[in-house]
Parts: sequence; structure tokens; C-alpha cells
Amino acid sequence: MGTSDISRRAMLSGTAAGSLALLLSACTRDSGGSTGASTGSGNPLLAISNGALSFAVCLPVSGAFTTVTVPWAQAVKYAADERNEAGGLKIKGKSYKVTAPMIDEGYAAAPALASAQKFFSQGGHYIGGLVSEEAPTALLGVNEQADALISTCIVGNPSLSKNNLRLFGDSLTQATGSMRAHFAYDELKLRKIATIELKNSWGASYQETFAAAFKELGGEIVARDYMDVTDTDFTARISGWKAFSPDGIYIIIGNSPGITIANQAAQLGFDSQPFLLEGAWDPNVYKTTGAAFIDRSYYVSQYPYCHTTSAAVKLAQKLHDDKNLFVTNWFWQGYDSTRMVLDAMELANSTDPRDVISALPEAVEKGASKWLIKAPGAVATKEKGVYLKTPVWMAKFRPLDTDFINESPLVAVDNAKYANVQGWLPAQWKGYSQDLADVQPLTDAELKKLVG
Amino acid sequence: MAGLVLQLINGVLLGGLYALTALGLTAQFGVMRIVNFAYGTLFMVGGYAGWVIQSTLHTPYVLTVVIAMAIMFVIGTGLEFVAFRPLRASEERTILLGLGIMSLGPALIILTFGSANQLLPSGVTGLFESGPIVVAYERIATVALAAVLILAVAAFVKFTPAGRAVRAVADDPVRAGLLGISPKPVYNITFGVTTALSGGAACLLATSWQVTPTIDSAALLISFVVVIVGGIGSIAGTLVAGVLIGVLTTLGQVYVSQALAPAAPFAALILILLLRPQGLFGRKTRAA
Repeated sequence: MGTSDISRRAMLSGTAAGSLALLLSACTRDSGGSTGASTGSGNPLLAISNGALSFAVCLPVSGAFTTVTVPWAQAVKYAADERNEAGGLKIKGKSYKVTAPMIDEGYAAAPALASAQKFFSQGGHYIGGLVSEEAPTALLGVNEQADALISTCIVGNPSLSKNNLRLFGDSLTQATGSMRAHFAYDELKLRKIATIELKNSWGASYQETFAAAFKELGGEIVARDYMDVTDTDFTARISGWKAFSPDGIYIIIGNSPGITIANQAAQLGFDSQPFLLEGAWDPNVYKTTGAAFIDRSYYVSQYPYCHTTSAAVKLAQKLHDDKNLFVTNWFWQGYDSTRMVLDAMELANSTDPRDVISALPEAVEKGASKWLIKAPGAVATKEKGVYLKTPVWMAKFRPLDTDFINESPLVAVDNAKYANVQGWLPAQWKGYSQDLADVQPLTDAELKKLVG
Repeated sequence: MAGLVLQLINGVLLGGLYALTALGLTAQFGVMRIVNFAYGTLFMVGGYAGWVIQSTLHTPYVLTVVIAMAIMFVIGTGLEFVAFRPLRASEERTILLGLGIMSLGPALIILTFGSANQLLPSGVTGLFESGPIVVAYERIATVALAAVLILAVAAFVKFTPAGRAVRAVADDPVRAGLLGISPKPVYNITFGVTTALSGGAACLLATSWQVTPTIDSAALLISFVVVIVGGIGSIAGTLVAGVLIGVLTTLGQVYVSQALAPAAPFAALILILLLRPQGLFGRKTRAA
């Protein structure tokens, strides 16, 4: 087939133009505003604009994670709707409406930063979401400059640096490694594990805390591999494991990429080894791998994702009616953490994020009976934000024929050692590099308040 | 050593799938001289077509691929007729058209099918195992099917009267017209066949990669790299470049750095552009 030089030039320039367009598109997405950082004024109505408070959800609005992010955004919206139906947010004797606009995180630092800055410049001061590790890292410091409180659940080590306007609403990556290692070693009797992790600090935090605990027990990490969310072929990495004969596989990424890895592992003969999983998992996604995957997968999760309650069923039904989707683990974090922040605003009688962050531990403790994630309280650190005391359970996926609205997607394993485990950073963590000595572990009395 | 052999096998097999993925793009450019940024989107649509067919009609895998390719042929010829043909006179407009389709495609797929992964099982199971060398029969089978498709296209272009017409139009559409070969139907059929090929490639890859609303960008990027490295418009070049890129990526992942491995295809692309801008099998020509 023939070509001409002009046409080749067109091809190359077209490729360059297209790449440039994509690059520009990625860099400029949602970047309409200036940095617009407002100063902390102590104004009790700091975050109110046009009679409403915006609690934005900063999550990817397209791509492989929307089965996770759409439910999450809906969770924040439901929390806002509930507050509005109850008469609105009551501050200084007045009621205000709560809105939950969705802004695009783009699963990367640059679009998250651009979206957040635009939101700040428009008077926004509350953000929930942030599904990538890169996004909260990018917002470090910027949120404090703009007096913006961020409620997040993705926590790699960089996210634990100084920044007081943050609520960590889910279990921490660094907190559950020991629990998972004990489960793998003592219960599943695994001795050699291959790991594959998302190539960022979130993945590294999970892998390294697990590996340290697993090795201490006598286990061996026989292979450590990395992946990106855009990767599609893992054959080279997985086939390399064969020489080490791992008896378990730890996949540190959720949903679509995780499913692809699990599927390719099964194709390459790893069809009986248990999977330990991270990230968020949605029944719409994991059903594609079939029962064999479900039967041998283990996942650490919050209470409402592995125990059925009438309140959880009601929300799951609502989500399915509205979006034809199922809840995921992070849905509950979004729902409860938004309600907590709104409660803290009323308790502080202020919408100033600095007042609200101070009031959060008391608000969480006061409302302990209504949180679906069963958080009995929260810990305010001196300079690293507030950590929810989120208990977690080791669980397995329910079969595919489960009614995922009336039943939780997971069922907790039948072993009290792996139930109701503290899912936040334990102060007693030896060798942990971050100085969080001011974080106290859950007391026995607090544990007793939880559902056993 | 056995590990290296294993990864070379993995690389060659992956490269075969890359080659098939890129084949339609190189043929579109070689014959029609259009830079089709919608190629990845059409690849993705082909994968979804296969998944819908198999999950609703429960057809055997090979029949599923054939039906999906037939559907994509119709879509391709239709798209060429209503969209690309009216804009053929302007290279910039066809690029913009492709970019527009590329931008809309994933959103429409998510709205229609959601963003969950969809698997297209081939039904081929089992492993070839010899010491540390382990290859899934499914991968071997899909690459074999890819090879059949590539050879069929090469044979069609080389040995059939229709293929001669395609080559004549690719060489010089004006001269072909003077010889009684109308370029328009050739363009239409070429776009249809190449779109069908992209759909077939998507169905083959969906057995392992799965179909997702983001698969389009991966397919488009790798196709452009393979086409430019192999030499624009060259089937043999596409095959060699596909294998080369597959091997480079695989060896890079295992022996160099998993952080740097995704850059391996682009490093090869830059080297080729510096050392042999016409690509491995491209013809060096001069502007008039």
C-alpha cells in the first residue's frame, strides 16, 4: 500500500495534534477558576452562598471507577437530602439548604486540583470523595489555604502529613495489614504470597504493612508486582509467579482492574489460590469473574457492607432505583461522613471548617447510634486532621444469586478475631514512620458500644 | 534462561494481538490516507458488540467474533458514507471528526452499558506447561485466530482482484480512477473491513483484557505506535512492529522496571522517528 510524504506528515502531525488536544483536555478539565483561596475569617456563615451550603463530591465522573464513584456521590447527595428534608442545616437560628455538586477528580492530581480550586474560588469549603491517592496528595495544603475541609478515605503515607482540615472517614491502609496477615497465615494457612499493587503510595502502604506483618509471622512475599489503572495485560507479571508457587495472591486494587488481574491469574493456572483484595468492589463488576473468584476472595470492609440493616437496605434500594447500581464499601463512608460533618456544623453553630473540625469528635460520639458504619467516635490529632474510629470485618463476597439490595454484598467470616477490628491507625504500631503518637486506640468500653 | 524464554513467548503472543489491533488503522491510512482517531472507539464498540451477542444469543465464541465483525463492517461502511466521506477533502476535518467520536464514545458506552468490565470467554481453558514456562491455551488460541485474520487480509490484498483494486487506489487514486477503478467504493469497503478487523481484535482481546469503556484509548495508543514504528500502510511492518513492541513491553516489565515499562513503546517510537522516520517497513518518499 502506498503512502506519500505529505500524508505521512499529516499522520504524524495529526498524532501530535491529537496527543496535544488530549493533554490540554486533561490539564484544563474543570479549570475555569482562579485559585481563589479565601482566608479564614471566623465568619460563621463562611461556607454559605446564596442560602445554601455546597458539600461537593470530588470523584472521577468517567472511566473504570464510575460503578464506585457514582454510588459514592449519591451517598453524599442522600445525606444532604435527608438534612434538607429535616428542615435544613440550622446555624445561628437560621436554616440553610445543603447541596451536593459533583466535581471531577479525573483519577489524577491535576484535574482534582483544578476542580477543587475552581470550587474553592466559588465559595465552596467542603469536599467529600477523592478516590485516587494522587488527588488528596495534590490538595495537601491548598485546602487549608482555602479554608476547605476535606472528607476522604484514600490514605497512603503522603496523605498523613500535616493538614488539620481533614476527616479520614474510612479504615486506613496502614491499619489493617496485621489483621489481614494473621488471617492469611493463621486461618488460610498461606505461607507464600504474590502481591500486585497499584503503583502509588496507597498501594505501597497496603503492601508494605501487610508484608511486614506476614513476614513476622513466618510467611514469605515471593513476588511483588506493580500495576497502573490503565494496564490491560498482566500476563508477563503473573506468569512470572509460577516459578515461586505462591499459595495466595494479594491484589491491591479494586473493581475493574482488580477483576482483570484475577481473571488473567485464573487463566494462567492460579485457579485455587485465595485472593486478598483491596479497593472497592461492586457486584456489577465482580460477577463477571464468576463463582470461582467469589468463593476464594477475602476483603476487609465496614459494617454495613457485610451486615444487613433496615437502614442500609433502604439506601441500597434507593440507589438501585435512582442509578441502577449497587452500594459499594465506600458508599457508606460518603454517607456517614457527610452526616457527621453536617452534625458538627450544627454543634459548632458555624460553617467555618476550622470550627467544624474541632467539633467533629464530639459530634461523632453524640451520634454514634445512628452511624451505619458503627463508628463510636473520632480522634482529633494535633495537626493531622480527625480520624474516624471505623471498625472493620474480614469478609467474603456473597454468591452471585444474592439479592444485593436486601442482602449485604459481603458476609463476615465466622471468627471473632477478625470482627470489629479497629480500622484506624493504631498508636502502638511499631516502626510506623509517621509521628501520630497522639492517636489513641479504641478502648474496651468503646468496643463494647459497637455491634459485636 | 527459562524465565527469559517464557517472557519472550509472552511478548511475541502479546505482540501478535497488538499487530491485529493496529492492522485496521494502518490499512485505513495506507488506502484512504485518513488519520482516524475514532479507531479506538470503534475497537471498543466491536468488543461490546461481541459481549452483547454472546450474552444475549449465547453463541459459540468463534461465531460471536464473526457476527461482531459483520456488525462492525456495517457500522464502518455506514460511518464512512455519512461522516468521513463528506469530509475527505480536508485532513483537519477528518481528524476533528475522529477526535469528536473518540470523546463521545466512552460516555455513550457508560450510559448504555455502565462502566463495569465485561468478559468475553472463549471457552478455551487449560495451560501449556513445561517447567517454569506456562502459557494459557486461550492466549495461544486467540493469537492463532489473530494470525489467521492477518494472513487473510494479506492474502486478500495480494492475490484477489478486489485486493489489486485496493492496492491501485492506495498507490494513486487518480490513476486508479482512470483505469476504471472508482476510489469511493474502495474507500467504503476498506473502512468497513478495517473497522470489522478492529472489532475482531477487540473480541479476541476481550477474552483476557475484558471490554471496558476505557479500552479505546489503550487500543488507539498502541495502534498508533505500532503503525508508525512498522511503517505507515505496511502490513508486514505492522506485524513486525507489533511483535517488537509486545516483546519490548514484556521484557521491560520483567527485567527493567514496571514503572518504566509502559514507556517502552514510546521509546521505540521516538527512536524510530529519529533513526528511520518512514518506519521499519515504510517507503521513503519525497514531497512533490
